[in-house]
Amino acid sequence: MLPIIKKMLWVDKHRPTRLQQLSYHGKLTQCLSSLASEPGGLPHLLFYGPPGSGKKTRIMSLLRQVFGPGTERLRLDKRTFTTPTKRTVEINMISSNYHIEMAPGDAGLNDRYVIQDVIKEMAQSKNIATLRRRGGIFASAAASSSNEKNEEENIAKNKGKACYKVVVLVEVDKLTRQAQAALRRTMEKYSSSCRLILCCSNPSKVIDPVRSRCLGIRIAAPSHDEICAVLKTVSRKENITLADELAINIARASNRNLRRALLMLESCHVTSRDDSPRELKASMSIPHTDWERYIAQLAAGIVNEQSPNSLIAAREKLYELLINCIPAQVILKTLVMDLLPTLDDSIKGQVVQWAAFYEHRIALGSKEIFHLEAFIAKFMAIYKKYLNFPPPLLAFLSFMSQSSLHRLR
Amino acid sequence: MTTLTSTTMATATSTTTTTTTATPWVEKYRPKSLNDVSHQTEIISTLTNAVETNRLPHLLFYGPPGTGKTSVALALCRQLYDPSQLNRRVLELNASDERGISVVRDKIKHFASLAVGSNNPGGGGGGGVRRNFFGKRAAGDVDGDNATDRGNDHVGRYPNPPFKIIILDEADTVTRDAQAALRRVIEAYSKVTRFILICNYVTRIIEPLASRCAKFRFSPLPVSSMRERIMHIATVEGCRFDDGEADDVVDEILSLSQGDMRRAVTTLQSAHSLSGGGGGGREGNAIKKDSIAEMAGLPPPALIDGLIDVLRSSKFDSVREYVQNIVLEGYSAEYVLSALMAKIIALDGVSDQAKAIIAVKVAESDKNLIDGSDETLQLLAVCSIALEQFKRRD
Repeated sequence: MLPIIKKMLWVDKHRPTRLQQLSYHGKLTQCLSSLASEPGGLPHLLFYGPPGSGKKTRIMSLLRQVFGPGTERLRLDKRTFTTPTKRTVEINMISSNYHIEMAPGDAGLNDRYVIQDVIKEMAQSKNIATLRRRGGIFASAAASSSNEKNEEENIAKNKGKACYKVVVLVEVDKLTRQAQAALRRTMEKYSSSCRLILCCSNPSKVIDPVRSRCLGIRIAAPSHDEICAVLKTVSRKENITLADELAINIARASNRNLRRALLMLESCHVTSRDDSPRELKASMSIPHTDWERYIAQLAAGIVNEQSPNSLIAAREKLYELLINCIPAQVILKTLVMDLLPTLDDSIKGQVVQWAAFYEHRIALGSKEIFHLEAFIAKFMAIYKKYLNFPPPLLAFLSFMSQSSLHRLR
Repeated sequence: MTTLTSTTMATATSTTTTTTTATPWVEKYRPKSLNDVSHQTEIISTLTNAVETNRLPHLLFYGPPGTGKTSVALALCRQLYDPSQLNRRVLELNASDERGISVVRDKIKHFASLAVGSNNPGGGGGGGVRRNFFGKRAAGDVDGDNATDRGNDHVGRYPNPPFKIIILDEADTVTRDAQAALRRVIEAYSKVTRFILICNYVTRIIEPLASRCAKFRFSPLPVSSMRERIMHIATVEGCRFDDGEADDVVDEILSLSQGDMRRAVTTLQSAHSLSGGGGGGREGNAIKKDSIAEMAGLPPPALIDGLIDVLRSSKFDSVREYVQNIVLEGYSAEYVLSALMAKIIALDGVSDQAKAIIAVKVAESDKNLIDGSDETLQLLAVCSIALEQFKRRD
């Protein structure tokens, strides 16, 4: 077992598996454990929050609390579904005896059929695993630590009550309208034998009827201090001393995304392993990902020069990013956030509005490069105009008569 | 939507809590008969009349979510048919079922075209013995309170009209082609089958189909009738409130649910289970007013006040930081926008024109959000407009 654990990433290795182990959002954890203590009344849940805030960790801990350690015995299934138009869709599902987890959004436009099939299939049978537990298979197992004992008691108390299975749907914000509509009545109809746990980062994209059927659980991104605390704990477990300054730097650079922070920590460790295997110094530079550096270059390029040539150079960079599977919306957002600090306050508003405009176009359109380029061209126009007519000059010009202004322009 | 008279309620809960704690309250308190449905009095009286006279037209129910459309349709069927007949006579299709044109052509047409068997004539008569046997048993689950007059009487309680019913729930997601295919089906088999179409947006139902049905609009529930229901459920389920806070908490729930009964009931149940209460007679802590808004995912007022302050400071970078923070905290941008707009409209010292300009941008952003745009950028765009407008005032 040990050699396997050694190879795991720290993010997965030190992921909490029980509600008691969760480190931040104490109030929320309390709520979750009171939900889990009465599994019969568990409503459908909708977890939402920014990436890397611990949604999945909390879902899995909640499931473990309700069903016991059986939820950790996972297997990977590949299921194929046939749409009425005789097209086959393949979906990866991770399942235990108690739950199924999947991302129906992977099926693209055919996600509706996946939802219709899976939920009906799940809902038509009761959860045999929980019923079997009544026979006392778990009760006879030796409970070694007191922690385990508590859990045993909890499960023993719950047995028979959680006579449903759980379907965890991740990335529900990527589901099509039709698929979400398909969820509506199904959620109600089969609620006695099947509970849904939905997970998404953008709740605006979940339709209202689905939202009103769920208990929404907001998971905020951890604060910088909370991230630092987690980084400290992890490095202590790995027997590494972590300088305070580096911890806070990583937390800042991670943009309050715990997963990224942990990955950064590990990559810091890997880069410095040869010099000082048990210590991470404050002076270390934090590794940024390639694509971020690339976008920063792109931003610097278009601030430097506004011309057709520069636009062509930008296009090359954009293609490079897109080829490497960086989503266009991420590119645009990162680019804007890189550009903004370099600009004068007077044009920041304009740039942001156009960015929002083109980002919306990306969401609607099908060819992303057009809209990215359009934004860059627009930005160049705004910026050039600003350079030619900076606000003090404009103010001066407005004193002059209308006719002379015309001539100047 | 969910109304049960207090006597039925008592019996219903005493049986259900012991058997299945697993049903959510929304299902548990779904009205079982037409008379139990609250508020939609006109619709109910028309429908009851139709049931009594056995003349049921095709129906089209429309209205916002949580106003009782599905409940009325199901209750109507329960009232029409003997429980033993219910499965054979009623076909419920919703968006979770495949409803393309092929289904209309095969499944619906097949179900609609089969006439009702001759051994089940309407009203009673032949086959009465058999129905009597089944009916007696099943009548118990449906109306526990009528146990006393469960005798031979109940044969008359179900008119068992000689037609079948197809409920097309969430009919606005049926494709236009399929709707077009339904047109003639509805007419051709109207002797055998009645259709009940249920939808949120009547405009998505094609005109030829809508004109074939009697339309019923379900209006959002007024606070008074919702309060009665929610209070009732709260007492039956044993929710605990702090002294004198019960009204405040319920008011908060009602104002958040905006006439959507389902949402109100779900909120109440979640608040109840989050506060540690649950089935099995275990009493939790009192439900607090603050926890309701937090649970519904609404941004706290302080957050919006802070945003307004930052906007007034007219520093773009601090606005940007604040907005990024809001998104990282996980608040839904949609709710933030509506809360922000409500605040700005009430704001003193901002010209009407500026408010209007901001409102236009908020509307646009809301649409963009639904199209799937990024939350940070949209919020930032709105805020930059607001910033400009606030600055202009100075």
